[in-house]
Amino acid sequence: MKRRKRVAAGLIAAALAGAVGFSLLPIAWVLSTSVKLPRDFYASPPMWIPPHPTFAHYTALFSDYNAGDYYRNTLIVALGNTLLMLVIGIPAAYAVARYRVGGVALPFWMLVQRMLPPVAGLIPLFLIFQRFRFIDTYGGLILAYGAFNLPVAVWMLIGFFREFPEDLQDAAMVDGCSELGAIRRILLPLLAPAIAVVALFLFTFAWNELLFPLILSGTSTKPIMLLFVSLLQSPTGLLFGEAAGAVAISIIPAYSLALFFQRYLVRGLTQGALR
Amino acid sequence: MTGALVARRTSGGLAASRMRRVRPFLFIAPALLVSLGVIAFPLLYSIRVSLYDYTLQTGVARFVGMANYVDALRDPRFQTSWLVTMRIALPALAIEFAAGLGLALSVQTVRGPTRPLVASLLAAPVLVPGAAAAMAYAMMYVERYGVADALLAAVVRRPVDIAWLSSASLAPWSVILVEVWNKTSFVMLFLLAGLAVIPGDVYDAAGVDGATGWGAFRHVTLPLLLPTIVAVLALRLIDLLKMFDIPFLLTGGGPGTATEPVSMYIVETGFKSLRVGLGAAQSWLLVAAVAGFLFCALQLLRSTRGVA
Amino acid sequence: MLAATMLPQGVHGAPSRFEGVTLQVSAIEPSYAYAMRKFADEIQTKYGIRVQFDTVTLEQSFQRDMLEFSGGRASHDIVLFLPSALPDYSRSLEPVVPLAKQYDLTVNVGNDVLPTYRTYYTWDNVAYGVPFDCGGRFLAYNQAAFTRPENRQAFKAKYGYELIPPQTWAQYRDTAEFFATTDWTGRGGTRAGTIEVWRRGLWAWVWWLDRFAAYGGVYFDSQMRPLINSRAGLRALENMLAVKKYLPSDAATSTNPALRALFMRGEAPMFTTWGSTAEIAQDRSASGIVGNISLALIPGVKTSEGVSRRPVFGAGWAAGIPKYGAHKDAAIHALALLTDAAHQTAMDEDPKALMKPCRISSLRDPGYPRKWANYPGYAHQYIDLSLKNGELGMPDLQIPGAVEYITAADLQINLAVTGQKDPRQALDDAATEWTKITDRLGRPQQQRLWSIQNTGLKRLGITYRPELASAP
Repeated sequence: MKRRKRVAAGLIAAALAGAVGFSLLPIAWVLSTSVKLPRDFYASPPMWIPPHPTFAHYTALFSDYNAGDYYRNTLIVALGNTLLMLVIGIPAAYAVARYRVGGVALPFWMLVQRMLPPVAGLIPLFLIFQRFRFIDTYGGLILAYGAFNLPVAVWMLIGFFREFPEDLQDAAMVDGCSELGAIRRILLPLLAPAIAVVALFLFTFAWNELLFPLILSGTSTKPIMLLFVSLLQSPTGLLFGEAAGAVAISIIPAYSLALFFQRYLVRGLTQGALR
Repeated sequence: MTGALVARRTSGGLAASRMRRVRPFLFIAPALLVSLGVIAFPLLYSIRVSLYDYTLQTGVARFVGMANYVDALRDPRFQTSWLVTMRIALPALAIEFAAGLGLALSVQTVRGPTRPLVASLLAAPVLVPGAAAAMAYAMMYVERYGVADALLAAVVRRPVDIAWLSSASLAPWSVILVEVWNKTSFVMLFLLAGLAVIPGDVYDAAGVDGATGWGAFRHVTLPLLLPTIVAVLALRLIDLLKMFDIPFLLTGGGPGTATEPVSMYIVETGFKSLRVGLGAAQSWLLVAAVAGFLFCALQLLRSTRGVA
Repeated sequence: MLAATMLPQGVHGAPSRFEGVTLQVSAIEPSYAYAMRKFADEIQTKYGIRVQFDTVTLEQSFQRDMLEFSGGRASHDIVLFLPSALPDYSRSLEPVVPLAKQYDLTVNVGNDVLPTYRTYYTWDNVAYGVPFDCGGRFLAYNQAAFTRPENRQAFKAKYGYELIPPQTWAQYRDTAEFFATTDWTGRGGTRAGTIEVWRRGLWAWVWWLDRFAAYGGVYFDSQMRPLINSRAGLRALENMLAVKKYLPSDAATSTNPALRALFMRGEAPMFTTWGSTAEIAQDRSASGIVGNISLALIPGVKTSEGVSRRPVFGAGWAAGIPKYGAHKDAAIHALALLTDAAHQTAMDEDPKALMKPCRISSLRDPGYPRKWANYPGYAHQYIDLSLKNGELGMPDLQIPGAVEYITAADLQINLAVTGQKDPRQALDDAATEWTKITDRLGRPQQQRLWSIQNTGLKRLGITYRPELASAP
């Protein structure tokens, strides 16, 4: 019996180790390739640690391929959209959680919106944006991203607000605090970690977005996922070093933010779906 | 009850109390406005567009009623795109679920500080944008010279040249592999959270009744986990139906149309062929399908909740 | 007045005329951006104009331009486009000759342009584009592979004729098979018998068209019935399928540059391609077969008069000025400068620019062969073939919606060569698509415009010759 348990434990450990390897292999290979000399790209057997690492690809990304512009554009749009979603989402979520505004229909509508295929909104948004000259503007993109981020924001926030004990807020208001004051001084500070998780998700979704900017952005606002498109279709063929570097720099924000918010990530991932 | 509590505490008379009754609607107004503006209104406008034969090239729109929908349904390439979507989504879902569940259960057996470390390492792919994952794999899949072939060659000690992206039968599996790599950890984390809320006493009680190991899993864990499982399967399936980023960057839909899912064909119809009327109709067919799946999923979820 | 004429810059003598104006140029290829950038300073000094270059792929630029023009916008002041897109672009481009005349400028669209390209960029007798980069298609081959005695012996023994750059598509199949099954370098490790690019998105179409046109095919008949699914079209597809196993396995999905790189590494001895390959192949920093490459006309079909060839004109590029641009006046100044004989020749003579001459002045310029100073024989080969291609070439389809027709056919061809569809079915489906497109765009108009192009083709000696489809 004990032996069976140990064998089982051993198998599980092996499986987990294999899974970890599988998960990390592409990331490791991309990071390694981003600093390889071109002649080592196709080394067989594959080279994992280049003997002469070079940062030339990263430099090329910023000088020849305007990676800096892409980065800046994505930061502006992702931050802008995250802020906007929080600013309009927090009051809305509060109202729904506390006063059940809109009854059951509203949260259901939010859920439906979250599930909608983005491509369905893309054609009409393009036509509308074209009419009002919103194409290739930061404001336009920030608004457009609301199509997929607002439902996420409101849905997650409603879940968090519902968890918040109302008595705490009521107690404050009994003591003469206005509702808005109670919100500001009690509710928000205590929910700050949860709001931070939501912000992380909104930012990441906006950062990762490819389809919307593919059509709605232009030369002034193209975000980082479009850098991949131009690298892939470069006339010199797939530029391994630069492409690997582009992948590396595109995952930096998500990984940095995740490091900060490790504990809350799992909660956030499942928030709202179970309720 | 809460509303009454608030109303009792305040002063200011009728106007002020009406203000307070109105306030929740004011709170929700901006979000509602944005939601109407970027979601509801465009969707309704899209219905209108779908009833016209409208191409951006000429800018001329001619009312055709349901003709676009009929054309879309009859279009062999549209039909193929659905088959392709299913061909990629279903195996991906199955693998993600099996692997995700297996990993979640395995991680649960890990004790101590190693567990969060293992979970974090396993979760690493989930933070990678789909587009970046596609780029990384595009490089790895390069035939003969890419790391995928190189690794296999090192194992079998012979040159390996697998047509990862250029074989019509293999290319969909190459896409599935990227999706699975990118999203299995999401399923794992979701299930881990679901497992975490199952109270320990349930297992103790089961243990008392003589159920351990697989028995415990089948009769205790699984039923309690069922709502979570249904939820995550529904979420993933709906996401997979919308797939775009990974096939777009990995294969561009090729070879031919072997990896061209519905979203990609809609984008091509609307923005390359510039036939936005037809594209809008195709989009609505996709919305209908997703809505249908969502409805079934919700029904299923409700029934499993009843069971648990 | 005197002071104005003494000022060194500008046509009207005002150096700050366009001060602060920045032009956006959609240059498509980095090599074109490089070519034009060489004169950015000159443009700045002369007119005060700053020029910025954007390199987006041709599929993206076509989509972007069409989307923008449909909304009355243009993000670029000068755009490069393909001849098949001319009918659709013409609606939104400014006619260049009148615009230039407004400022006492001339654009080089007249007699200096090679005869077959002269009307290539005019629509309804109005010039909307200035020829920028022209060029036909060649069969590039590895000289050593064809001169190595062991190869010659083995080939003659197996096929009964001499190993030479194949003249017909049937011979091309034989040659590809030979190289794919023989160790033609003597050192082992080679990959393919020949290289082609059959990727979806205009590539498969071009490589098919090389054959279709040689087999006597033409796009439509006089009643605007598609001829792509005629016997000629089928023979073209059959030849492609016969050659398929001798190509690199990812020929139908990989990109032109990646496959070109294979040729440059010496991994296959043949490559049916454009002139840009000819330019890169002698560049030591990019090519491993420097000094070893030769050019020939692409294969054709044996007829009673010899060999009938119709290499596709394919990627000829023109530069145009969108109507909706904000700086059309500055743009025409920059464009007139960049496309005059002197500047075009300078660009054509720079090997890094990868530009193929459109103009007689460039080809006949004594400095032109200097590009390949180390390989004078090669230079003359290239010039001769360019001139011959100018006479033989098959122009692109040039009617409204041409890109849509071509894309539809291209997809079917790609499906056929990737084994996902039967060849006859693929061509029939393509023809059905073409008929649908014609109906959708308006049959009377399309028919009228097709007959105009058809007349032009006939004048070049290109007619539908069904008898060629039975040629060996």
